[in-house]
Amino acid sequence: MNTTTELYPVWIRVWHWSNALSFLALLVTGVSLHFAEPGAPLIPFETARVVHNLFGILLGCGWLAFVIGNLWSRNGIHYRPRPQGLLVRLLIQGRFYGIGIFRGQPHPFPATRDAKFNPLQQVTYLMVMYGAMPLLILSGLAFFFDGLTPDRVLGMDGLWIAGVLHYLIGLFLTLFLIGHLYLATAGETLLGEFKKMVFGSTLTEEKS
Amino acid sequence: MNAIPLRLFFTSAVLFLFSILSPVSYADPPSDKACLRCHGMATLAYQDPTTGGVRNLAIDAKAMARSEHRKLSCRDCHGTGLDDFPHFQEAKRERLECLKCHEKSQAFPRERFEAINKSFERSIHYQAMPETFTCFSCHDPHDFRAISGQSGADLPGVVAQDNAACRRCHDSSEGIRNQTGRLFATLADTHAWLPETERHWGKVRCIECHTRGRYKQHHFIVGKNDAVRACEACHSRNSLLAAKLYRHRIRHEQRTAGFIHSIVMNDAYIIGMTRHPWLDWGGAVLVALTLAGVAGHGLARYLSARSTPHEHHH
Repeated sequence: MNTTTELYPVWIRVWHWSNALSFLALLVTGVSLHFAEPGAPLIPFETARVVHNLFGILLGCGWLAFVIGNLWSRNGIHYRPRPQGLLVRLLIQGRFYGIGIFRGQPHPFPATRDAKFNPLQQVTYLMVMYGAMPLLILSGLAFFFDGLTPDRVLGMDGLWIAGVLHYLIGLFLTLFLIGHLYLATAGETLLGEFKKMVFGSTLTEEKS
Repeated sequence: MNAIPLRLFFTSAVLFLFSILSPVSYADPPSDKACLRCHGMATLAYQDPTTGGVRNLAIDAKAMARSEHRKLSCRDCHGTGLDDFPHFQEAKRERLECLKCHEKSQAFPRERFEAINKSFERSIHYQAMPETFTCFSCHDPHDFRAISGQSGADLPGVVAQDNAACRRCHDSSEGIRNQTGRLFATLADTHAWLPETERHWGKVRCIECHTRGRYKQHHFIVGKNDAVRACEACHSRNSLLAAKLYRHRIRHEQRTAGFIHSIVMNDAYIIGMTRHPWLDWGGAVLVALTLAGVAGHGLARYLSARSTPHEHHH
């Protein structure tokens, strides 16, 4: 008996591209806010401030929708890598990107109904979506509700801690974005993964 | 409101007493002490019949004693005359100019006064009131202390002194009316957009934003249309100092402008608060390394795909 699964249901695709848009807007405005200086070739501070706040809200809402969607649908299982043998699987995936990909070897972990991500994706996405994103949102909320932010944290200004944390996570996510964009070209074909995220990807598996 | 008539009453009374008790004129130029017998009184004032403005004629001897001009006697600047009482009209005719005294000064040479004068003549004050606005409209020579003579530790004192010169007129609509005969919006209204207004005024000088150019253009004072309004002009590469400035403002805004508005318009982030060379350079290096790694990997993929073109699509 065959089962057909949509690996990227419509809500995932909408969520993904809303994230992509927010990410780009937040990255450009975030850089403008951080490096704001007279005469700097960036978005004016006053504009960047409002745009950053708006897209921050959009990204936060998207994250909330993602968490709820994962609880409510099957999608959550892809973010729970089996700990047993994870390190070995990571090494296999790493060896593929380091060696196999240049020799035209097949992908070691093709997408299945129960694991659409390879081990490296599983770990990275887990860290990004359940580690970095909550911290990023929390440190952003520290500015939205700065009256509630503690004055002192570890002997330093609470808002400053939040600001530095926000910057560091933003930096980490920028690195992630670069890697993510690049590895999206490393699927079966150069643009295949981009197409999947636009048009969806149905997977037919034989089941005994 | 009571202070002005009372002051005028005292002044008139004192002057009247002088005019009957003293000899009408001094044979010798009067000493500072003689001048200060009247001008040392804190309440000595005069109402200008043309503008209706009250002119303070009192000299604060203590302020004078710590001013740049402390070594001068009254007569060094005010010259001869002014021997009769009252001498309103004579004093009004007196045309004192800084350059008259400073022409040959080594400590403060003429060129610097000329440079100041040049930028002063471009200022909004001079442009609006070329006839009546002079150096003395802002600088009281009896209380003038140059910044260069003050230690860095007294920065708050410098700020207070310089801002007092502006606020003497601009703090109230009346103050400006005394000078111009016109009514202006108050400082609080025109600066309502500026977060932590009073704190700014206590920490930085009005001329930080209200002048064009750098140090030597401090007298090119500009109005609101040309003043600096970009926060990042000051708040850049500035770290912890600024991190606390706006903290409690947002709560007030949430009450007055609505929740969503206050969130979207949130400005709790202080420009430059996260700037640090390590963070900036570390971030730039990490991004550059990642881009280089990705580019190198991509190039290797491209080259290997060219050398084994068919295997890839196996």
